[in-house]
Amino acid sequence: MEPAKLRSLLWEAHLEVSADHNGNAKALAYRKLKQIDPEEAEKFIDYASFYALMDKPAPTVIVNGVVGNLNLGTQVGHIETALEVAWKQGIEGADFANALKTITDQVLACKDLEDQRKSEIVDSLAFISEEAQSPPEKRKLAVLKSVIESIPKILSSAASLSTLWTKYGPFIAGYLGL
Amino acid sequence: MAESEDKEMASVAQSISGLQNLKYSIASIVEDRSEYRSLLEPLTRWIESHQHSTIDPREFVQAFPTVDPRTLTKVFRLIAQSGGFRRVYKVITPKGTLPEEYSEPPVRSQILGVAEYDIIPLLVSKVR
Repeated sequence: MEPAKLRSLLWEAHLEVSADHNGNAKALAYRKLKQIDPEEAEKFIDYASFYALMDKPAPTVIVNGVVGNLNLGTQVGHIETALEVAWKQGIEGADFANALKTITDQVLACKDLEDQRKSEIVDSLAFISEEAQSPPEKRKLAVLKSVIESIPKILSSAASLSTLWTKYGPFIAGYLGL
Repeated sequence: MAESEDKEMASVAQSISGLQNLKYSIASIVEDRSEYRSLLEPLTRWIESHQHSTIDPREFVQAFPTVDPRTLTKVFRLIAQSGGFRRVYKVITPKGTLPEEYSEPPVRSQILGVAEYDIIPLLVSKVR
């Protein structure tokens, strides 16, 4: 079976299992994957188990991008596209997508962050999203690094978001090769 | 020396050698992620203290709550491949963990009387 088919099955399995951490979904996904690659099937179960134990939020489709007087629809559109692409890239991509989505959702929903600050962060996340879709050798790494370094500083201005980057930032930086 | 003792000694020697290899492999994973370098010693100590028992991901996560699941999965898989353990699956229900061990993750029809469950992989030491 081609690697693309395996990736697609892994993605489907990850989505099914993440929805409710259901044992039957895990077992069915394992059986499907085992027919193609027994090692991947085992790896999937291990990863899904650790993922669930660490209480990572389940992936769902993102946000609408309109918050009060702030319309971030265009930037959120870039983020949504990156999420769709990343989800299809297996476990590494899924972690990146989950981190990007969680940060975007929490920033948009945050009540103690000024609109201008929200806009700055969502602009940065949209830039990261666009760069994530470029081939690794074409990414503007120096700019990405500086954008990524600026995000935790802005997030720390809202108490409820102060630990968000520590928790999810490494998945974003890791996926981008930083 | 009795034949059974010979076998036991050989098994322990294999387990010690497996542990050394494991330490090197974990070191290479941790080296890749600079933020986890300081975890090498605690991780290997934790594995050493569990090498004659069961490695349960729930205890693993409790011991290293800030390590990302990808890294823990890699370490868990290295332990599984080190040869000292056999892999089993246990079923967790809202009322507790079922006593049965499965060699493959069980589907719903294999677990009677349970509406909601999750599966956890465990590594059980071959030398106990």
